[in-house]
Amino acid sequence: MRLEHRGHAFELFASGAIRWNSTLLVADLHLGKETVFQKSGLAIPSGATQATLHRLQKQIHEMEITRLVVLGDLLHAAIGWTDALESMLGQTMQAAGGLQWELVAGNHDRRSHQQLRSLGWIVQEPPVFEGTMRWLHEPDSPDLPDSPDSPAPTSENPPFETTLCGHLHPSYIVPIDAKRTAKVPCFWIRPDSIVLPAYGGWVGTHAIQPRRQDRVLLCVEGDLIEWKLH
Amino acid sequence: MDCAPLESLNNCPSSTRGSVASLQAIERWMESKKQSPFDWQLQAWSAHASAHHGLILASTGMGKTKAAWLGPLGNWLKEPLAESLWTQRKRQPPAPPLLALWITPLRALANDTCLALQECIDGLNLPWSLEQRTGDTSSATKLRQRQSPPTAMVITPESLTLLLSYPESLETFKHLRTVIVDEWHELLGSKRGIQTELALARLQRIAPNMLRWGLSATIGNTEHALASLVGSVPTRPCSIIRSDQRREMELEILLPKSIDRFPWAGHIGLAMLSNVIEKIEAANSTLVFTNTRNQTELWYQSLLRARPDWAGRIAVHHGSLAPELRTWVEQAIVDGKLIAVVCTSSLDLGVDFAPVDQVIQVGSPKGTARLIQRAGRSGHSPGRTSKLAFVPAHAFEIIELQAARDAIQNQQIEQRRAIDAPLDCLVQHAVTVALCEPYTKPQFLDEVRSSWAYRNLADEHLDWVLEFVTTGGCLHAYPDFHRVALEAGTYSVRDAAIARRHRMAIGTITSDMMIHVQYISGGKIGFVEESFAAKLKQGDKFLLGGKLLEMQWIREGTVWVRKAKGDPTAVPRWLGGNMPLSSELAEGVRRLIDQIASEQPVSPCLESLSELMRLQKRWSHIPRLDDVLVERCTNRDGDSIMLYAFEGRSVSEGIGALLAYRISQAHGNTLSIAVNDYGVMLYCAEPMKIELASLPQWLDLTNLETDILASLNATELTRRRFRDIARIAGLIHSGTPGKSKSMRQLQASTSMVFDALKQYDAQNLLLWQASDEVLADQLQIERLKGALRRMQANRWVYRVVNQWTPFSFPLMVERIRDRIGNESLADRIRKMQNQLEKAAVEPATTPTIPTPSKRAAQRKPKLSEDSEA
Repeated sequence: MRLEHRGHAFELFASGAIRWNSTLLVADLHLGKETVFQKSGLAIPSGATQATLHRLQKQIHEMEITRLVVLGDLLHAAIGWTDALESMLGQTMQAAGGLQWELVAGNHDRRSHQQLRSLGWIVQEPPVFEGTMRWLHEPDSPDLPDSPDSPAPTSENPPFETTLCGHLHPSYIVPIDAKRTAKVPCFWIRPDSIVLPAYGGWVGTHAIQPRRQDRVLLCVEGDLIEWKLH
Repeated sequence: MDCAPLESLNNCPSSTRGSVASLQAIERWMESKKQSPFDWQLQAWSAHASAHHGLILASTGMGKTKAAWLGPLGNWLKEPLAESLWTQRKRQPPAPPLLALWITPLRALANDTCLALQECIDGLNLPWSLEQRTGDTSSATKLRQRQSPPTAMVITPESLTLLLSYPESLETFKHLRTVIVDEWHELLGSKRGIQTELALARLQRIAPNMLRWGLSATIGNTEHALASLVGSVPTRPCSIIRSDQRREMELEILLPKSIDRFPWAGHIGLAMLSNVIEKIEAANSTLVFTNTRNQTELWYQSLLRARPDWAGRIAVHHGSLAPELRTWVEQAIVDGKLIAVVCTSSLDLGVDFAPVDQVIQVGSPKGTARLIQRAGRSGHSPGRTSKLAFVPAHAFEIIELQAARDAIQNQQIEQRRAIDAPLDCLVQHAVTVALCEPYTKPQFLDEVRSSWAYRNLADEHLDWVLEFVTTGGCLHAYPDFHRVALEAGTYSVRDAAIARRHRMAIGTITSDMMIHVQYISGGKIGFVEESFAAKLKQGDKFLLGGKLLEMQWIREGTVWVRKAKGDPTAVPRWLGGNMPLSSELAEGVRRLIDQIASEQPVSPCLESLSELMRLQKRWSHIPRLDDVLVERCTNRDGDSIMLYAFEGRSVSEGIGALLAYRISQAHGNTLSIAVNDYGVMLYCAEPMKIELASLPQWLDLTNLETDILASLNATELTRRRFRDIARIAGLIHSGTPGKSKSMRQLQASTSMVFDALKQYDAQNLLLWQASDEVLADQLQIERLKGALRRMQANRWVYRVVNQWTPFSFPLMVERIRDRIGNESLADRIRKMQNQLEKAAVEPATTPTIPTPSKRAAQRKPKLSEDSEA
């Protein structure tokens, strides 16, 4: 689905990815999450990490891009980094060919920068400025209705038109019938920012409460559907 | 039930008044208090003296605490060492090591129990120390108790299991002589009961000579209760002690002057408010029991509105209140500050506090055992009469109460079935024991099979459980998982962090995902269910603890509120709001209806229903015992078929789901259902393409399980059921959120865990357990099968009716309840009722057919869609 947002042209995918020119952006993969649970004595079967990487690989394969940017939380936790994960991630990167791999660091990646760099990732601390866009992991103030308090432009903080971020794992609670509701992952389009849904397969979601001027795009079974607010 | 171990059970030993010196000491003490022991108490003491296990059956207030407790005290007095300690009467003789445990199912009971037990210890002047250990005990005390335990401990099942997870427990419990389980009937049939059984098996292994005693209210399957208590291979002979004293019970029904001709379920009987107020005024102290916490709040508000001068003299009490508030209420009753308390089942349990003058029961208690227990709250001492006044919520409940009365007369009390070998509890236990001491597979199997619940545990299930805790149980799926280490054939836990987390999880068996409600200004009020909290919007007003609260925000797992004025806009729902009629009582109801149908003389209270029943007979039919009545009503609302099984709500639901599913599969009609305890209504806007006479075939038992699971949203039900299983089996981390960062990355909802297992380890036995539990507990498949078999053999009576009959009207109300708000529902019912009253008086005229609120349907188009089965 094409989306014009503050003068930028994006293409949004039901997988949770956003394409901007030849860059593909995703957020919150939380790779190795099952391993973190297993190592802590909680019997969660492996599989989701592999599935997430397969999905990513397939999506990259389907389009012409030169650059993949992860808006934070590529990994779930440092103890989830195993040889198995390293080789899986390495294979995905190799299969994708000559791509530039970038990570805008998130709270979960905090202690894994070194491992990722040695695998060929460019790891940057947020915010990252790209043209008139700002890329972040954590949005500035998710609870405020309009988030008007964007920091004033300085030499380090150039002026920007919009923000792309992740972290929230946004989902929207949709009534199915009189008695039941479903939590559906979604893109949360706000006047001055876009919050990406989590790309990872086993990560959980957080129900958002959009304001009237926001838009909600639901990711349902391979389709993006706009949910009309009011 | 496998009865083999029961052969070893003896009944009461014949000698009651032994020549034991200890008994004399006890009698001397009781004499000094101007009491004399009852024969059954003597029996209990003497059985204890002969080293029997035993189960004491008595209602609250009969003196069962003394019957159980003076056993171990008396035994100790017999010992030569004790004699010297006792007779020397040093000021502070050293307290003996841990000799007795008193297991109580409710934290809230621990205080009162301690007082009662201490009274005996003091009365006999024993050098015993007594302490309690529950989730509320401070960690410093807990640590001290592990290092130097008291002589006797009052403990909850969770705290006991936790204690058993420490290696010191082998030392702590070595001298244990007696374990007494209070309120065994409450634990029986729940996973906490299973946890207790496993703990008892463990204790018996540590202290082989330990005696097991249980206290229970009257239940229908005493021998089963005893077997679960003493285990599959009792180490000693067993006794069942019954307090032969039957308490006199006065049951009175408060009837309105004119009985509603068209009863409907859910009507809270507030029309009887003034009668209830009169009753309360006439007595010193009253407990008003309702069936749901929601009704508790409503009755409390209504009483206050009618009698503003009672502010501060009446109170509410239910399980969702903060502990401090509950304690205050309990104390205020004792002090006589309160004249009435409105309460739910939180007071069903036997705190030996505050005998009240009378009990008022609002709405059917839905079970005989519950009625007895509630009535027993009044005249709460041996030999006194229990007084219970009953406020029927609708006319049919008069039949239910009469059925309960008959059941009490004939001693037909409901059975409590224990759960069979749940794997989640075993997974937890396998880790708990590994924390305490390394074990081998045969050792573990031996110990586990000595409990009644796991006596028939299959080898492959045990293998799976041990495999699951060591490697995850599925090759390749869990490469980094090791909770329990297996080395040279022994199982143990090595990782300190895993040990800590497991201990944190042990206590969570009962947590219902409740969330705190707290004032912004500080002060806790109680809990509401998470699902209710999630639906609250800012500014919504709801009642809790007798106060009207306005929701401000939800943060940090707490609902923050302010006091509010006006009327509630949201009604909290707690689980268990809809208690189904017990099958024993359902059968009683069928019998009474049969009596009415055959025009036999009935008891006076049923006379008040005669008008209503005549109408049912004139418009339709009153079913005899071997009749199945089916009614069909086609009118502006569409086509409705009513089937009356009189088997309780869960069976009605099963029948409805089955019919709706099978018929829609065959004919493509989308049918909706409405159910109550008596029957089910199937309805459809268009005419249903089925003949009434074909109904028995639609209820064929072939493929029952498959069709039932397909008919309901089985995945959703299983997913919900899995919540508890995941928590008990330790699949989720249940620490306080936000407490430490390393914990935060371990948060996942049970629903996510369910998805992961379904997708990547579909053969996991815990998933199977979840769907088995859905079938057995939630859908009560066995009860449904029984009912269907009975109905297949019965005579089916079909009636096409022109208007809602007294039987079908309550179902009609259930049907429209979902569509419209509370207020408008009440108005709507009144209108419908008036129309039917007219039809009843003027049978010659064309009957007016009431319709459900069209206006309401238009107002809320989204909700007017009938929900599917």
